Amino acid sequence: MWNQDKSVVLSSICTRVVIAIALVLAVVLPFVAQGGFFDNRSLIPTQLVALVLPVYYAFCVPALVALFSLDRLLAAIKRGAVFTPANVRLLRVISWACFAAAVILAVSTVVSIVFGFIALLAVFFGMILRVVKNLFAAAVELKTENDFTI
Amino acid sequence: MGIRVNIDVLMAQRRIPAGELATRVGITPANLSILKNNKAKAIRFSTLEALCRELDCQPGDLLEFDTGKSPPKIL
Repeated sequence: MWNQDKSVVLSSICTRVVIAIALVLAVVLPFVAQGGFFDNRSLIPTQLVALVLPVYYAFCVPALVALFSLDRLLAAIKRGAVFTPANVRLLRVISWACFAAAVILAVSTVVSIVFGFIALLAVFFGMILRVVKNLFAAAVELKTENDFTI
Repeated sequence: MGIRVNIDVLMAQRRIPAGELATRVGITPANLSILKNNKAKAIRFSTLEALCRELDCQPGDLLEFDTGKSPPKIL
């Protein structure tokens, strides 16, 4: 039977898979850029990969910060500690990581205009997360008051 | 500055142990400890009523407005 605990576990697994993919790509992409993985018949042009590589590494930093924070947040939810100041801080970190990624992607529009659209998405996610963070902060305050009402 | 709960003083005067008072009032010893240590954010009328009944006192004997400076918050 599907329940909330299993849903949290699934989210946690997905987060870790994405972290693993990001790390594997960080290792593999330089070889792809050098043409070590694919021959001339490859569908992926190695020059394009070489161009995108610095953008990917710059983007990886806030992305991994956000992903590891998300993993910690999910671990806290699994423990049952949902409305805590630590989780508010994690949401704040994820939100700022989204904004940092947006800045990196906005700068990367010199490489390709596509990054501009992704930057807009990152700003949008960052804003949503800020609102969620504000909601969590208000919930933490309410919970504290409730817990200390005798 | 704030509201201070003088429950420990009244308990000592009435010679009632914390565990017994908690049982009589119908709250957990942990919650009584929160009240004693002035960590409580609010107190229900029902709890106040039970405390006054068991300690044979008025709400004013339990609660006191403290005009002193509050300790600095650790940021």
